[in-house]
Amino acid sequence: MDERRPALNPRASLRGWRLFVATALPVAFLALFFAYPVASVIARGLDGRGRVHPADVLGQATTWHVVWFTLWQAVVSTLLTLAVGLPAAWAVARNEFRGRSWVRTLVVVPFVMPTVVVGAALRSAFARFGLDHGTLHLDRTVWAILLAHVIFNVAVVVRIVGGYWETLDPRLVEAARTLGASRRQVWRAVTFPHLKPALWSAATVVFLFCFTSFGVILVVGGPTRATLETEIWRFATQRTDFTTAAVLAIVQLVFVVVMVIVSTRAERRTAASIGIARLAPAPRPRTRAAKARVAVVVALTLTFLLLPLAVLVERSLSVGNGYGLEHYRALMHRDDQSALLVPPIEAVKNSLVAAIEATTIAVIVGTSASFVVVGGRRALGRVLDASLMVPLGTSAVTLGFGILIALDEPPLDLRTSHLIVPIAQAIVGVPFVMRVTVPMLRQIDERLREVAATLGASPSRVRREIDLPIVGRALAAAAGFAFAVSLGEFGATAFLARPDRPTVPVAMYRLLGQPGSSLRGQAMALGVVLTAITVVCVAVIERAQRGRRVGW
Amino acid sequence: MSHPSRRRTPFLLSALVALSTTSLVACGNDTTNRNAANCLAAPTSAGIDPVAAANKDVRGTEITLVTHDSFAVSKGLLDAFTKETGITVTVLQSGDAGQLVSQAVLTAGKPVGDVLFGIDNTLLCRGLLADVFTPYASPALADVPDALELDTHHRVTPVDVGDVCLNYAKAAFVRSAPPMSLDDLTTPAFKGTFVTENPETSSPGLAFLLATVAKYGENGFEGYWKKLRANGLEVTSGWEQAYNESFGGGKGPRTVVTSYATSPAADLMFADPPLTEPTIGVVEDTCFRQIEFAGVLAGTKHPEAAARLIDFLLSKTFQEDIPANMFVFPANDKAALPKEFTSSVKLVAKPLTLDPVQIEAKRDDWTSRWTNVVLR
Amino acid sequence: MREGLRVEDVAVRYGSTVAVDAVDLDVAPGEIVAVIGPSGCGKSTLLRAVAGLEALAHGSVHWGATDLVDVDAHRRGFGLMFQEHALFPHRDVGENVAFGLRMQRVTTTEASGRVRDMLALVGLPGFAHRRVDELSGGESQRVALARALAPRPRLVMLDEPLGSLDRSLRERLAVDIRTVVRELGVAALHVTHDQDEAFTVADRVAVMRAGRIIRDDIPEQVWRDPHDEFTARFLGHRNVLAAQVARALGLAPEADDRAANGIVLLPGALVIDPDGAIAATLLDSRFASTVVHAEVAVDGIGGIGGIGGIGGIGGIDGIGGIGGIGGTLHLAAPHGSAQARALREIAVGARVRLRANPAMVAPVTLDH
Repeated sequence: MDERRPALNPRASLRGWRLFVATALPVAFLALFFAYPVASVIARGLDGRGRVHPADVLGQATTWHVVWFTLWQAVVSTLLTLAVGLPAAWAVARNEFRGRSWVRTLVVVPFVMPTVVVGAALRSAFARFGLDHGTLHLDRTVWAILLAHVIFNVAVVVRIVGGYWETLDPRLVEAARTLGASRRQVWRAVTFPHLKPALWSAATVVFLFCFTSFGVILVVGGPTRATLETEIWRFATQRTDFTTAAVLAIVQLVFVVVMVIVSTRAERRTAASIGIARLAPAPRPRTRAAKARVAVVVALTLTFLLLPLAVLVERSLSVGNGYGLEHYRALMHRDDQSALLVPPIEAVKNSLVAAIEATTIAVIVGTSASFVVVGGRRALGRVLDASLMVPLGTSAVTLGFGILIALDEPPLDLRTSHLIVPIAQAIVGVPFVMRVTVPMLRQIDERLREVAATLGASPSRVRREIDLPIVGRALAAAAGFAFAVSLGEFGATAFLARPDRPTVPVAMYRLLGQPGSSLRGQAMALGVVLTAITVVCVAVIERAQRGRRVGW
Repeated sequence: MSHPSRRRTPFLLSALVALSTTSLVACGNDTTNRNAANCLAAPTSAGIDPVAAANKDVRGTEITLVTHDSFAVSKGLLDAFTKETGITVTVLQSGDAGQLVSQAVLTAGKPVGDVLFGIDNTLLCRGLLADVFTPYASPALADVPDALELDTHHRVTPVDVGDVCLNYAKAAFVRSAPPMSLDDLTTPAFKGTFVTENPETSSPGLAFLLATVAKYGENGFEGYWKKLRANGLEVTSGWEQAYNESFGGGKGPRTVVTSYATSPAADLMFADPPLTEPTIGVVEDTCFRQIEFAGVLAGTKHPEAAARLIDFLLSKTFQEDIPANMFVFPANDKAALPKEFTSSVKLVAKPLTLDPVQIEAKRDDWTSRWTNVVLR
Repeated sequence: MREGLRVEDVAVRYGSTVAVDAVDLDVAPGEIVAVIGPSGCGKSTLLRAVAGLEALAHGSVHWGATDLVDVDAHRRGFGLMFQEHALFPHRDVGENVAFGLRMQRVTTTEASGRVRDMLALVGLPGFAHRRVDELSGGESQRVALARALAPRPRLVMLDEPLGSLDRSLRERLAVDIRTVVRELGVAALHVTHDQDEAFTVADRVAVMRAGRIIRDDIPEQVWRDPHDEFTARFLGHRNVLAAQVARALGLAPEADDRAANGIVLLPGALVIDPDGAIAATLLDSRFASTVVHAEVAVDGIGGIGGIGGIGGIGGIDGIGGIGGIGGTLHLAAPHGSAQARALREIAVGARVRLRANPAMVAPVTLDH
């Protein structure tokens, strides 16, 4: 269909000033808060005033060791994450059961947990099962890195692939089954082809996350492991060697750009031409075997993902030689003095405000970009689609430092504005929004838009009445995700000079940064509070959407 | 179908390149390649006149203090400054000390704030060589020992002093003797007991490496580390994993850790359940001295107000607040110490030290050599 | 200028492909025009061009005196209904029907009254709060029809509206569509590949082939006198014969101004008659829902048991006689008729005699 209709329905797609605005917004956002800062800081590193010559960096064998390790651990982490995430995605997408939406919410928990906590949890789990020494030694190995990456990123697969899986008409599967196809054949012939775009989407996000992994590498992998991300950080912040950092940042960018081009193209190519004409509700598992399958998958996934949380809760409750709520109580009364500039409740408020701002920016920018990608001129859409993914794979130091040196002149002296934190977080949030909305928008039956148009809906009305509500649920999921991402302080935030509005993760690190067992307990308690807030907020965001419309 | 995008593949890169070339023009002077030996030489800039700074009406000025994530003060402390001077202070925090200094170098001349606090002697020359600071000789320096004033041209002002030392869990050394020296750690008695931080990624880790360089010399430290490695050394990326995880705050599998001389005081203050005696011991012969400085950032629009903040950082009000919040010792001799400090910790009499110029010249070489010996 | 749709010399191109070419078509208010043709002939594209969903490469679309070329789809006041009904999955039945009214800013009370009326009109009273995924195929189509008609469009366009339904439902709904559209007095453009549906619904039928309208007339006239082989075959006439074959059967086409070089035998043109002049062999007879079908090999226009005719089914049976090569002819007789009984009684392979009824023969131009 696409081949035959190069100008597929010009009337329903973006035109005129709407196209301009929808394009200009993400382009300006990307140019101003990503391309310009990153280019500035790289240019600064390569301006010839550094202690080393850029070519020497590329000539070193260690550089290419780092590149190789970065690449393969990211690829393997991505494959493992898909393998673990797909059954979970299936369980929540294709089966109706009590607590299903909570499972969907709970999978994001590891996502917001500070790496230190997940790292610590992994290590205690290893110790508990005797995996910290001996032949099955996992602690401080590459296996531990891979495992941590899986724990962190399963949510991406469950969210992106699961959301898409729900749109697969169950009749297709039933039809294939009645034609005598085995479960495996159904997967190969029906389900897998349908899921391909979402798989590419999820794989891209996971890959980029693992490719730019930082905390996991340092904390879980130990001092002998280095990725491009940790090396860029080390050279830029610890050695003040901006030249090496810039060269490594370019290498990282090149890989990321190639990866993003390959994957967005693959996602586009595999996009389903069958449309969503109906959104079928997921069936309740009927047979005992089916119920058992769902139960086992859900139980295993949650155990796996919530293990770090369990460790966190255990530590937050551990007082002296027993258990108690002292650490939580101490948090409540922590407004007198010491390690935190503000009382913890203030940190919670700061976190929420920043996350709401970041999510709003990410949803607005991401949604308009998605419309351009799907409905604008093809070439434009493709470039935008790929470009907005790149920040996800760009080192946080590069971006953070870039913002510091690029946005230093009025009217854009945003370096010290409190808005810079949500903006930096939104840069990471936008790709999430897009990876969810673009495949969904592509999948919407064009005729729905056409019918709406003939019923008198203007193009913008069509977007409001048709596209947004249908994508709405997925969009809410994406927003919840973006929200979790910013609560968890991803991205360049750590490398900006932040105004004294410490967020929860900052407060946690501050508490963990000093000796004293009660401070550690309080940090853990704060982590539990952060997790609880995240779960509640993500749940509220998603349920708000569901309550609004009939049907699903 | 694939042709258009193939043609456009280099778009992003060319856009980046185009942007880079335009931004080249915007960069200021860089001095990172200046010879480290000149680091403590006289600056070209005249600096802030203390008399003018003291007399100027700075009420209503808003200034920004740039610092690292470990900066902490008691609630309302900065309000006292505002009350006294009419200056409002915003605190900007960003990462560890290394990141703080790198950012200052990157934004030299166009600073993010007006005063920087948190550059220590291991990083001092890196900041000075990049002309990050404007000289200001605070009258309050009268109460600060001269030995702390590493930069005699007053581009930076010492604010606090601390020691990075080996800590040990007292409970683990009831029957056997705790370590007394660096050499002890290489003996069979301490096999598998020691955890330290990677000097490439951790500030105490670096300080400890410098301690070994100071002790064994530029050519001897690698041999020492080889022995440490052979004796079951554990290395972590950061202090948190070493102290809280491996050392377990005194209850972990490792019993000797690289931390601070003040760790026993913090242990006492934040113990759970409360303690009367610290459970952590300090090996005094292993301490490396860290001096933290503050300085007025070159390019500030409010040099006088910034100078007043420097004065305040040296005031008794601020100096007496330092120990309990940041677990280091005040630079001001007259500042009183909290009781946890007087009872349990002290600055060691003969710390290991290295010349900041030498640190700047050799640091990367030493850490690289360390990596080769310890991690490869 | 009189009201109604006027399509003049319209062309639509996709790149270098010409989907619609030189099409002229008028639809008066209250008139139902069916556009028929095989899939890919451009009829849906024509509809989309009229709706404003495709850009014109050439020509014009007018409503009365108003040129619609620069009028967007949502301002044309044309309703559209698709084959797969395309109901909005996120809205219930009532909201689907009310959609166009909301776009017109009709008040809620008025809209709900209209929704009630429309649902009653399409035979689904009380369905307003149903979810669309609970509807059967026929119900979905009715809702889609109600939705298209609710905002009182000047023209309603139906793109294969019954294509996905089973036969009996299709026949019933086709009648319903005609009734409803008639009742509202709206102009309608109905696209289908099913000639029965077109004949049931339409006042006029336009036959489309390769992007062009080759015939535009009242249904009976098109059926009785298809003019060309393509139309004849598309209408289901299976016996199309070249002139020389016809002559061999004694059915020479009358000379006319269209320079016909063949004939079509309309249903009933051939009957079994022991006294008939045409000798043939019965190859097959089949029982179908309304008629008995049979294939015969006619002596003289092809060998007995002729070349590919035996057991031939569907479209390939008809004829092999063009150009003088032997072949089979198709017979159909309604159940209960003497003809039908006769066909069932004759054994396959037996000899039969046939008579041709010249009144049921029309001249056609053959394809090449």
